[in-house]
Amino acid sequence: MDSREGLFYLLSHKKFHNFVQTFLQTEKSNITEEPERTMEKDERDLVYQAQEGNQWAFEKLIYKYDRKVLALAFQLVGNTEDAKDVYQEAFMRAYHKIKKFRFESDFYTWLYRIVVNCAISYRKKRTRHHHRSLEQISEGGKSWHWMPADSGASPETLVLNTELKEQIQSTMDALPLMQRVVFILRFFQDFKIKEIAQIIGCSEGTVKNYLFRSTQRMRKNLSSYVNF
Amino acid sequence: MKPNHTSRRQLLLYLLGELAPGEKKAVKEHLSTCHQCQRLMEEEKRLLKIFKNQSQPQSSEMLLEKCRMHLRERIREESVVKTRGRFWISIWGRIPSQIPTKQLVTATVIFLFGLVLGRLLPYHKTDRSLSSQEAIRALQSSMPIGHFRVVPSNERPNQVEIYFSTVQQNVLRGNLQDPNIRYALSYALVKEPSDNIRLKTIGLLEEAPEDELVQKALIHTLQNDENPGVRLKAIKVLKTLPVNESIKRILISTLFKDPNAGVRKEATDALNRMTDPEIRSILQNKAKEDEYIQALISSTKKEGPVSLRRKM
Repeated sequence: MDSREGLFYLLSHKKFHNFVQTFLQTEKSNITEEPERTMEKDERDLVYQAQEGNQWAFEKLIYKYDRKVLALAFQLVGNTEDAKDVYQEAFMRAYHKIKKFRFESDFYTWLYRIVVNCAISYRKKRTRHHHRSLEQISEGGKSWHWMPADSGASPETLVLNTELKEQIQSTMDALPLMQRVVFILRFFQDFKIKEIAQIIGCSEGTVKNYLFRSTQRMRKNLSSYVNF
Repeated sequence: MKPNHTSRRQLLLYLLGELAPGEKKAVKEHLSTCHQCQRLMEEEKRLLKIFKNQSQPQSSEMLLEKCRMHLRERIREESVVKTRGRFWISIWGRIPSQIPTKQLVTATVIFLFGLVLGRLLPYHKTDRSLSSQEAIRALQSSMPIGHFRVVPSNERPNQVEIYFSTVQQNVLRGNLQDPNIRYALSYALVKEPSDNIRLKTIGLLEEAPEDELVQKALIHTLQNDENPGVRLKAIKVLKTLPVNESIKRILISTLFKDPNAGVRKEATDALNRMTDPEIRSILQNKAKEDEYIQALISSTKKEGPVSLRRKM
């Protein structure tokens, strides 16, 4: 058998055909999957500069994430004043600890971990004497606006959506702390389970459990709205 | 639910795209055939759609700016506190990078430790008493010796205490019968910078001038000591000794070279007592230019050796 015959034999072989098909499928699935958030070079440079004490670089890093951080803090602690405190506490902690950041994870994962830890400890502290005053609620109304997902919805749908939102909110408030954190990070902050595991510092299996339980609770409480 | 059906947990993770590839394939295959699981999946889909359609809280610009401003203030306060601490850091930074930091720190720590230990050890508080052999070994060694102090012993009469410092303060006790004591005193006479100590040493050595080493020390002092008082005292002791060649030479040398008149006078007196014709001829030659020597020689011829008290 000369080399041409050998090549022809190889190309016509069924195993080789299957291998090519599998390879193409894998490549296709890799392309269609959502690209993971990775640390950009600019961000890495900013982190290096902030680690050397450059305040400007640190502020630039803050401004990249602080809107999301504030929203997350609000969702986690439930009121504006506490959210502001968590925001301050989290960024000050990040300012003190940025020199210890070793690029073993993405910067935003590291930052969110700090925020979540701050919020958890803040919430635990506040649980004993937690109450919302009328002023806080009214101020909260001025400080936040809710972006409707469907702007062209009918008035009935809008009313329904508002009720639904309140129901979701009350269910979320009733969830155990870690389930609530995982639920918010997955459905409102669009983090992957792997990233959530890094943020809250536990295994992916645990995160999946938290997520399933919180979703089940939601499903139970929202059954009247979605006709399960 | 039958065991081979897909669980709600799996369905949820399948819809969220969080299943492993193998599991994902199995669920997909099952769903293509199982209507019951398809219905469950539709329920889960609706639920996820509700979550997805939920409006997100957006902070107002005013609230965000307020938070940023407060944070900036706190960071500025922190950096002011940090700047105070940076002074020492900048000093540290000025240390040349060629010096390995760790070694420098280690050396400093060892130095400080040694300093503290040195202060704590008892030998600084008391003088170390040496045997005469040890003292001589110390004096003969190449280590720097100083701070001689010679005092008569309080405990025993006719004894002397010689204090000197090497690495530490030492004391040597004994009387002049001990050759090592005489050695230590001779050493002090030659080496000690303090005039008082040298004078005191000669006063002690007066009692044992016959020792060859003592004579050498006295001759050395007469030749080299800067203080005329010390030289004068040394020549007075040498005068009492039986004349030998080296004493004769140093006396002649002193007569001609010593800048101090008192010392020269003592040398003249000492030489005038000698009957050596060589000395007499030297004195007679010298008498031509020195009236005191001339008077001394003439009075000696009449009355024998006298000591004139007139200043030269």
